[in-house]
Amino acid sequence: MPPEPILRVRGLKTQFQSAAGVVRAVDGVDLDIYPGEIVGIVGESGSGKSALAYSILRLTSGRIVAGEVQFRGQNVLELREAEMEKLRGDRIAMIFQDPMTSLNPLMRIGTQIGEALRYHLRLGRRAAAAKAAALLQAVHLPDAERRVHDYPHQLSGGQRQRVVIAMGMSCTPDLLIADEPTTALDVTIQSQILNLISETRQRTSTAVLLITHDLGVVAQLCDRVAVMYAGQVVEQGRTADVFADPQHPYTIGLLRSTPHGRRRGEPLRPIPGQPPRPGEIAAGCPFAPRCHLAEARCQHQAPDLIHIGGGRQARCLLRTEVAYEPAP
Amino acid sequence: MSEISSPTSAANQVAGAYAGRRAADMPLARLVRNRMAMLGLAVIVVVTMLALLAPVLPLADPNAINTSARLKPPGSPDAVLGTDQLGRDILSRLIWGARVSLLVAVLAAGIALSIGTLIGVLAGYFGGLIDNVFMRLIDVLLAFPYVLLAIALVSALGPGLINAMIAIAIVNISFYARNVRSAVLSVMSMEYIDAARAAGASHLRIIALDILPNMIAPIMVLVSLNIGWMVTETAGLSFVGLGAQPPTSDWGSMLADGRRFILVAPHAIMMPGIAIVLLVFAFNSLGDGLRDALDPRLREGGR
Repeated sequence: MPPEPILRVRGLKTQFQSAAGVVRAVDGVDLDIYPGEIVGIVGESGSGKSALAYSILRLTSGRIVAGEVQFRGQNVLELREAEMEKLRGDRIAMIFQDPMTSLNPLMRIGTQIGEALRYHLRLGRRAAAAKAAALLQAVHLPDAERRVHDYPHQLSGGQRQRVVIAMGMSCTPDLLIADEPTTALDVTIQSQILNLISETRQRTSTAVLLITHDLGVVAQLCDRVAVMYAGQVVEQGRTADVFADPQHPYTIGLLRSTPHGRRRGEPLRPIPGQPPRPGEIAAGCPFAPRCHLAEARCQHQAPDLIHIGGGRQARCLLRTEVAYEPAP
Repeated sequence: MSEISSPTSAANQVAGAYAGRRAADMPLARLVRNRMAMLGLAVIVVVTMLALLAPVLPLADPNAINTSARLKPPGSPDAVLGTDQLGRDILSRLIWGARVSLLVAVLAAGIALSIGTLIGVLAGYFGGLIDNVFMRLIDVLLAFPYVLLAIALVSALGPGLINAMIAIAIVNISFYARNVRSAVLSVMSMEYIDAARAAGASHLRIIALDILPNMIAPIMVLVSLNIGWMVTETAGLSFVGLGAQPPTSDWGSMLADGRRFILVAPHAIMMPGIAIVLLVFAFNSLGDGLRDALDPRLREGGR
């Protein structure tokens, strides 16, 4: 009997109103996250990865027009704002891309970590400060006892991202959403932070939704991966399966364009063209204009996400569906 | 706030973070190095001290009329800056008048700042309909020329210092509301606001702990740039007889008294005139210095 997913997203659609018209940033996404696993979401800039993350927490500046976000069996889209505030930071936490701007420059880091503890766990000032120091120790911030009194500007980028992770983990959430947590860091720090996320997951069995455009990060860290293109999930499956045998031409293109995905000696091959500009997506498969396998029908028939076996899904007309099987 | 001048990473510039900054680059150090700002600060400190100490300074009674010593020139033995048309000591009147001018300007700034900040924060933070309603009201307020609106308000309320102060405060609400709103918008673009939301903080908590503290620098700049205007506007209202009423006098009413004798005793109008110019200049150069030191992005701002 497989466990129930902690997060079950169904048919989620988030739209932005722009001068050019309606932008469908998230366009019918289905996604399951099981307790304790790390799920990667990859895609180019503008593919809707971040919009999806913000929509799950209901922090998007766009409008969620359809779908469900079931968290532990409860549709968070139906919660009142006050109930949502109780959920955020306590059961679902989020960490951000840029540690330079994701900490309030005028608040000591200990106080900043303690804030969430004080209103979620109702800890007193003193208890919150002690817990903050312990959390900083857990993310291997050297000299944590003393650093709680530091301001963000006294820390390096990597150290700040540790603080951000400590903040995210402060109430031991069931789900941590990490929005490109290593993009703004240099390479050596990146792997330290990724190790920290992986270690934290093992210690607390918090599930992680990791948003990234780095396939290397996915390969290193994620149990499962969802590939997003133009607001839709185009392929989903276990990381090893997807990397070994990608089913969607976009995934194939992504893998060929990075050193991780290609065979030794094979040249890097970028995907030709640009992602469709939001609001410009015509009928048919959104990837068809850039697809090396596109056929005539791809131009006017939009593919559905189909099950292709092994718990995998792909959104491509060239794949044939196999009988439905329960997710692993 | 952040610093644009150094060509570091974009993240650093926007961050408002003081990371890796040398001591000489810190806002206070930059302010201290700014000579005009320091000169302005010195003038403000001296005028404020004189105004505060007026009751204990060895000054002549500012309202003592002595018709035999009318319009004495500056440098007279009993009156360093001369006397006015009623023989009152101009130095003493200037210092006592500074109390009135400064008090009215500071109080008016405080009132305008409080109301303007409230409107600016609500409009900037919540956006949408609230923003639209408030900003259109502010536009209406802005459609009137400042001084004319102040005069109209005092005429409606009746002349007097308190009413002049209220009028000046109302006129300046738009200045604070608009600038605070844009400061809120720039703080809101920081990821730590999203981070606070994602951590479950309420709107009130975010405004109190994240938005307001990070706006102190631009607000300080706004106030110091604005108080100079307040001094001028108070003097202006008193000059046309809508502000300080006799026997109380401020620099504006001294100016008005002196103008009838501009040919026979130019010092009677020059002394308060110089005082106003000096104080306004001091506030403005301090404000400019603060702005340059704290937030170079505001350099093109002001009104």
